[in-house]
Amino acid sequence: MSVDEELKEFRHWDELLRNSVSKIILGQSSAIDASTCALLAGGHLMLVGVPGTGKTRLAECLALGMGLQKGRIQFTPDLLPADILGAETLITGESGDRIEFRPGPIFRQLVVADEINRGTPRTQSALLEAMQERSITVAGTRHRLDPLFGVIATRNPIEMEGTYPLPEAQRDRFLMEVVLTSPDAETLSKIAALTTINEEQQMESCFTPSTFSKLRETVRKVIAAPAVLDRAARWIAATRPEDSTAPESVRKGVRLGAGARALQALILCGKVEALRAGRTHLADEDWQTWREEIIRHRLVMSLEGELQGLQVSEIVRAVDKEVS
Amino acid sequence: MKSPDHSRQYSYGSPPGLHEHFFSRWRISDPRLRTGRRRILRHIGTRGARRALWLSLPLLLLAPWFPLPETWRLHTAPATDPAPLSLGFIALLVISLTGSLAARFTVGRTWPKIWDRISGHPALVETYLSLASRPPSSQRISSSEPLSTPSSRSAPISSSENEWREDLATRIRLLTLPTPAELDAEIPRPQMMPLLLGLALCMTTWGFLDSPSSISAPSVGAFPSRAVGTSEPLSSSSPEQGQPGTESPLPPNAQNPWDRLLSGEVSESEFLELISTLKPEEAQALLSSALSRLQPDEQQLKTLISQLEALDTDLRFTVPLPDPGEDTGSGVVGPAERIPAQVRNEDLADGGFDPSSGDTILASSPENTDSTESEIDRLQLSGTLVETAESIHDSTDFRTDGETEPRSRSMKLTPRWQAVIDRYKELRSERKKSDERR
Repeated sequence: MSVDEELKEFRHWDELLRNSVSKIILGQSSAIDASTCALLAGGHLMLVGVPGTGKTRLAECLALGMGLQKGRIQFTPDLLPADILGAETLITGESGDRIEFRPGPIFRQLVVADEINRGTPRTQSALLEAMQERSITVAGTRHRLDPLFGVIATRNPIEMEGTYPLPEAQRDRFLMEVVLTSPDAETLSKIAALTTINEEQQMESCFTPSTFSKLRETVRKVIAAPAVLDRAARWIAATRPEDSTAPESVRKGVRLGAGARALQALILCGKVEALRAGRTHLADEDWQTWREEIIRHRLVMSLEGELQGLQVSEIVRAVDKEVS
Repeated sequence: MKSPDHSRQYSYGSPPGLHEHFFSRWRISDPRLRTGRRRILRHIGTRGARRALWLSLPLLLLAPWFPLPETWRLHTAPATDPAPLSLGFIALLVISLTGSLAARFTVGRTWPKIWDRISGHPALVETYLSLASRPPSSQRISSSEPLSTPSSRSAPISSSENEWREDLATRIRLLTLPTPAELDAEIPRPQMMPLLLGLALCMTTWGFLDSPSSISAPSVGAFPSRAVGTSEPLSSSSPEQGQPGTESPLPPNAQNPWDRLLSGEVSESEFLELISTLKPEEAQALLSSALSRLQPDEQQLKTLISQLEALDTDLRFTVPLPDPGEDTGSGVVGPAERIPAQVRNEDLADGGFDPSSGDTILASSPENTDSTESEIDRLQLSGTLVETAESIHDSTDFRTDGETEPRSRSMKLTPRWQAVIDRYKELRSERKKSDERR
C-alpha cells in the first residue's frame, strides 16, 4: 500500500469513527476528537466531567466503535485489585484439584474504569503495571495483556466524598485528560429528543481490531523533524518550575511540571493530527493541538498557585509566550 | 479543548541554530529547494536593504540640524552639497548592504518556514531538510516508549519509513516556488535594532577612518556659486565679508575659505567657474592655500593652476610649503602646467611644515615680494634643493602611475615641487630681464 493510500485509509476510518460517535454523543465534538486521538495514538484516556455529561457513554461508544473487546470496571471503595486483575483460583474436578488463574476484566482490549477515583489507592495501583507495561504480575507469574490494551477512565471532579485522588504516577500514565462540558440548551434539546423515544440509537462497530492496530502503526510512521521535536521538548521543559525557560507563573504556581511521557504524548497526538490534516510529517501546529489536555492532569500546582486559582490554560498561554 | 490560536505560534520564534543555518545550504541537493531558497533569501535581502534605506534616509537628512559630533557632520550634510552627496551615496550603499545582510542573518534562517507557510504545508521543507542530514532510523523516539504497543514495536518501520521519506520528497517536488507577492505578505519585517546598530556603527567607523583634512573641513550649508562677472572679493581677509549687502560665496565662519574649495566639496564645474572670476589677489591666496595642501585631489589643483596662469602671469605671492614628506607623489605637473610661485624656503629648508601655522595668506606687496625673493635666494644658496630639483627637472621622467619613489628629503624633490621652483625661476628671470630693459 502506498503512502497516499495509507493516509487516505487512516483519514477515512478516523472520520468514520468520529462521525459515528458524534451521532450518539451530542455536543462534545472536541472531546470526541481528543478521545479518538488519544486512543489512535495508543494511549489511555481520562474523561472528566460532572454527572450527566456522557462520560461513560462516550467510553462505551469508543470501545464499540473501534470493535474492541470491552471490559468495564465500576470502581468502588471496596473494590480489590484481584477484582480487576484476576486471581488464582482452586479448581476442583474429576482429574483432581488444581490452581488456575482466572483473568479479570483487565484482560479485555479496552477497559472502561468508571469513576476511577472511587477506588482505593491500593486498587488504583493495580492498573499501574498494566497501563505502563501492558502486562500484569499475579502470584509471581507475568501475564501479557492484549497489544491493543487501553484504559478509558472516568472521573467526577465535583463529588469528593468517598473518593481517593489519583497519585501522580497514575495520572501521568493517562495520555490525555479530556473535560466534558455541560451541553448547551440546544444540545440538551436534541439529547432529549433522541433519548426519550423507543428507538435507542446504538453504536456500531466502525472497524475491526486489526484495522485499529494498523491505524496505530500508521500514526507512528509520521515523520517528525528534529527541529520540531526540539521545539516540543522546549515547550514541555518550560512547564517545569526549575527550568530556566519557565515563565513566572510556572515558577510560582507549579510545583511539578510535565515530563517525558507528556512529550511523547504531545508527539504521538501531533502525529494523529498531522494525518488528519493530510500530512505525512509532523508540524508545530500538530503537537500544539492537544497540549492543554496533555499537561492538564500532569501539572501539580503549588500552594501559591492553588490560592491564586491558577488555571492550566493560563499556564499554557504563559509557556507559549515564553517559548515562542 | 482545542486551542484555536495554535497555527500562529512558533512561526519564527525558534529558528534553527547558527550551525544549522550555515550548513543547511550545503545539504540542499534538490534543485527546486535551492531555487526556492535563493529566491526567498534574495527577497529578504532586498527587503532588508529597502527597510534600512527607509530608516536611514530621514536620519541622514535630519542629521545636519542636530548637534552631531564633527566627525559625523560631513557624512550627514544635506544632499544639496555635491561632495557630501557622493559620500551620502556611499553611506546609503553601505547602509543598504548592512540592512540586507542583517535581514539575511536574522530572517533568512527561517526561509524553510517562510516557504512552508506560503505553500500551505507546515514544516514540509523544514522536515525534508532535517531528514536529509541524518540516518533514517534516528527520527524515531528512542526513549522507554511507555506508550508504544508490542504490535507497533514489531512493525517493519524501516522499510515503510523509506517509503514515507520518498513521499516527502515527492511532495517537495510538487511545491510551487514562492512569488514576490507571497513573499511580501509572509516575510516578517527585519528587526529595527540590528539595523540601527549597523547604521550607528557605519557612521562611527567612517568618522574614525576619515582623514583629518576632511573632518576639519567646514560643512555648513552649500557653497553658493558665484555669478561670472561679479567683482566681490573672495578673500577671507576682505573687510566686506559678512557685511549686509555683500554677496560673498564664503561662509562667515570659515577660517580658510580656500580649504573648502580644495577639499572636494565643490563640484568641478562650479569650481572652474569660481576660479575664472577670481581677482588676482584672491587667486594668489587660493594658490597659496592650494600649494600648501597638495593633497591627492591634485587634478583639481592642476586645473586651478592652469587657470591661474592664464589669469595673471605676474604673480607675486608667498606660499608656505608643506612638508614634502607628506606628499604622496602620485601626481605630476607637466611642463605646460608648471606653477608660478614664490616659495618661502624655510619650510623646504627645514623639511617640515606645520599645518596649523600654514595657510597664511600674505598680501601681494613689494615688501612681501622682496622678502620672498630673499628667501628663495637663500634656498638657492643652500644649493641642495635647487640642484636636486634641477637634476630632476633635467631627467624629465615624471611618473604618472602614482608610485612613490623612495627618497631622501635632502636630496630629492617630487616633480610637483620641482615644477613650482622651476616656474618661480622662470618668472624671476623674466622680471629681471624686464627690469634690465627699463
